Amino acid sequence: MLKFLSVRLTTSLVALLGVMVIVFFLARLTGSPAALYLPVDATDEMVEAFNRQNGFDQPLLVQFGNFVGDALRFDFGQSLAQQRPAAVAALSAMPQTVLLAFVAMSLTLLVAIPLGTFAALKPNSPRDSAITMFSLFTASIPDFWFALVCVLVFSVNLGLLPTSGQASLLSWVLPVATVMLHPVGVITQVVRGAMLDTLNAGYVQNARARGYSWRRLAFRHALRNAALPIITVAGDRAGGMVNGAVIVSAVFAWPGIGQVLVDAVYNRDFAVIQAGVFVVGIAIILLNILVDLIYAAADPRIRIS
Amino acid sequence: MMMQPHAPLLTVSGLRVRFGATQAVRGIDLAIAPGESVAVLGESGSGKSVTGKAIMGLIDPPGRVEGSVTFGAEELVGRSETDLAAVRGPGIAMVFQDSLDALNPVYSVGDQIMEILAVRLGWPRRQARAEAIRLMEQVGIKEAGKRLGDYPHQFSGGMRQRICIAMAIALKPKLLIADEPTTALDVTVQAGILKLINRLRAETGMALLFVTHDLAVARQVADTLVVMYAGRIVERGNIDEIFRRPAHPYTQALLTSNPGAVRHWSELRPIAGNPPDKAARFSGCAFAPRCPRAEARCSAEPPDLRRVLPNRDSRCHFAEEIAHA
Amino acid sequence: MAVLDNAAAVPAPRGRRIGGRLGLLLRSPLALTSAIVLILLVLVALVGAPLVQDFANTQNLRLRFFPPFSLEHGPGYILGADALGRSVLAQLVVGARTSFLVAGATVALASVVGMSIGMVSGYVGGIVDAVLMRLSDIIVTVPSLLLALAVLFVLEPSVVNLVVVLAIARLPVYLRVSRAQTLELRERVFVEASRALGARDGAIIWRDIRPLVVPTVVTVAMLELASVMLAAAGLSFLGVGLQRPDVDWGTLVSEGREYLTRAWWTTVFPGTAILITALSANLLSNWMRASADPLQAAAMDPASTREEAARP
Repeated sequence: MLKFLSVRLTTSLVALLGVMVIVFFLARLTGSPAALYLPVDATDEMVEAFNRQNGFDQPLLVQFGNFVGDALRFDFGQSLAQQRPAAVAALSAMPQTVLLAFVAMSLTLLVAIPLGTFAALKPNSPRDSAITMFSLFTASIPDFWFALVCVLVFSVNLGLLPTSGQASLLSWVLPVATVMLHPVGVITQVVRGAMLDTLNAGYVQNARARGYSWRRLAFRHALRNAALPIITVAGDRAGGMVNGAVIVSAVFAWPGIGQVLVDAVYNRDFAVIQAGVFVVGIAIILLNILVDLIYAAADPRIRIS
Repeated sequence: MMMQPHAPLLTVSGLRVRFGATQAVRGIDLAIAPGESVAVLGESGSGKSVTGKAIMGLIDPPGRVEGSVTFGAEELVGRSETDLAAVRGPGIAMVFQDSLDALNPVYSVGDQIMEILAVRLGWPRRQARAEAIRLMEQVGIKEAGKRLGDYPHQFSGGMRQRICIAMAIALKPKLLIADEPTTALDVTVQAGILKLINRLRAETGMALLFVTHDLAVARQVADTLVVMYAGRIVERGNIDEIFRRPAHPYTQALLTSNPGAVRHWSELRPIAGNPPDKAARFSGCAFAPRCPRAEARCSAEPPDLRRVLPNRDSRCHFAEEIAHA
Repeated sequence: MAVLDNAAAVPAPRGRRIGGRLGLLLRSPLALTSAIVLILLVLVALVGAPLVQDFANTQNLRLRFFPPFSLEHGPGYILGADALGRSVLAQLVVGARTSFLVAGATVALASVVGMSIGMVSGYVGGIVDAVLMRLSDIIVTVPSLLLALAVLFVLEPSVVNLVVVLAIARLPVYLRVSRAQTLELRERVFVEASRALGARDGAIIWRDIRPLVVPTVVTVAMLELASVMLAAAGLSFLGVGLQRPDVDWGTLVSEGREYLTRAWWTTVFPGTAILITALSANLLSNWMRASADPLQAAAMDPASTREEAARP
């Protein structure tokens, strides 16, 4: 188990380094990084001074070294628009997004696990086809369009839900639904697949031969094993919910890292974009480690080896 | 329900199993008396495992089962899962080939054994635990008390199979179906398992349906031998008598190709050809393409399973000649 | 019954039904509809776009926000007009070409590059494999939208940039799949045979391994088409994907957003187009995957199975 974790830790550190490299090169993809950081009307002298001040005239390796040092201290420079450190802007927005993702993933699992299980219990039956159709359908809807259409129907025409902001519980409905849209279909299919595999496994047939009810077979025997790949995919998709969060922020003015990034794009605030990518990268790495811990705890073959 | 002394425990009539276009079992009749031990012998693809699973009601769509399987007075084919669940365990129990696959990897073996007693008999935890330890000891697991909390992957193949057997006999079944339980095991470990099965039979008086492809193994556990080929029974009778005097070319070929059955290795003869395609239709005897005795009549006229000797059935036009050769 | 020469077994004859997977497709209404819809859309996009290009750019301020479902101003405005009086239908057609082009190019690029790297990584193993897999890990760590957002912010929106960024974001899945299969194939006898005959690694990968990996990759690519299309549309919606004069369905939705309450058709129709396309692609891929499994294929076509089974 310890070996398993240490492998994961090393992989994560390498990934983190890689993310830093990407973020580092983001600024240097164009010829003049200064153009990204400074306002549009900056003069040539300002650009030069900026370059000298931030070491953009140094050799690349030195720059990278400085960058890593800064990054580890969470120093990404100042946010142009917000007049505060970019890293602070990014970090302070994370809790909102994590909360959104947590709520959305919990609801997703609450829906996907029963649906996927019922589909797997009678494969190729009409209800399985219907559930698969539902999954494929939700996976095909553009989430940003779904959000807009919901706003049109539920807020504007029916007046049921607020269009933006985080005021009431009701204002969570559409953002959570938007973020759930793709994962719910994908995870339903994953649950279905995992349950099909486990329901056909020898130990379930064996348990069946012992005269257990289908409920016991499905939920105590099959699901407990299917949970393992489901955890992996759910963890993966939870990270991907940041994508949904960006869309949700764009459509609903929802607070969180999405909002910070959307504003940063609009305001040409590059420092914040860099900080945002880095912070999200770290959050995902931590999430992966957490998922691995949960997985190891759930599978005795890894826990005891 | 009163059982007459010689009334069969299990009766199988006209059993057919198909998967799409594939015919796995093409019409089987079988009877097992209480306490009797029957070995079903055949190559892979002969339909032997499918027969065992069909009796237990474990064949799922797209597989389709036709015919009749009667246990005691109850018909099993076409019954709902709930009805079948009542028979499984105290009536008929099953042991599978892959013991690692047959045990749930995320629960301890103790939990899995105790679950049977708690769910099917309603026993409280303490009582179930004691019985679980007793069962594990009965099948030869040492230090059962300590090993109760261990997981399946912590046991060797032979021990795992013993645990599966313990789980099968927990509810004291009248019939145990064993689907190639020793195929995946070492020869030495195999011997231990067979000895265990024989001992349990003697202790409990349960009947045994033992599916295998290995003649030598069949001989060690069974009184009656049923030989299957291409989804049909081709020979049936007392196992020792069949070994002495086979009445079907296929059985003969099996005997001369099995190291355990011949007296000298120079007598070994492999069986020519390949097992038949399961989706095929036969216009004559299914074994004809590979049969050293085949004549024109064999490809045209399918032989019936008929009594050729006292207590011997064979599906061959020349059965009597072969038996008296 | 007839006496047969060499075998007593009679394989079941096919009869007059169209056999094989094409036949199965023709008998599956949903999958068939999806295939037809996709083919039609591609045709419309490729053939229709150049034809309506000019019409799509024609502004007509008298027709601002002309509502849909009326033939008053001719069939060109059947889906209404946008804020500048341009025909929504024509813009959908032009947008279709861009959307398909971007999705197609992305999938092609990602699958070819991903497959190549995956095969090399799986075959060569060792440190090369370790390094390439880390590369895949890094890409996966940053959520795709975020990565694309950041890069396109720096690079300015254009079709080429969008395709490259999306392709990089989607590399990992092709990498993993082809690597996994290569690892398995590497141990097979026919590869050993090639090696024993002295073939060089590159030749082995090209001749022996590639033909078996390609079908798997194609299946994945088909599934990916819908996802890529949605991702590209999302990026365009956020303003970093494509900008005028390049227009895809995502930019149309974005432009329509401003007038959501006044002219719902400028947002709803482009989005519906994305939905129909993605849904058809997903349905078809799903059918392809199910039909490749013989048991499932039998379940899908009960009439044919019953017919074969009923023969004596």
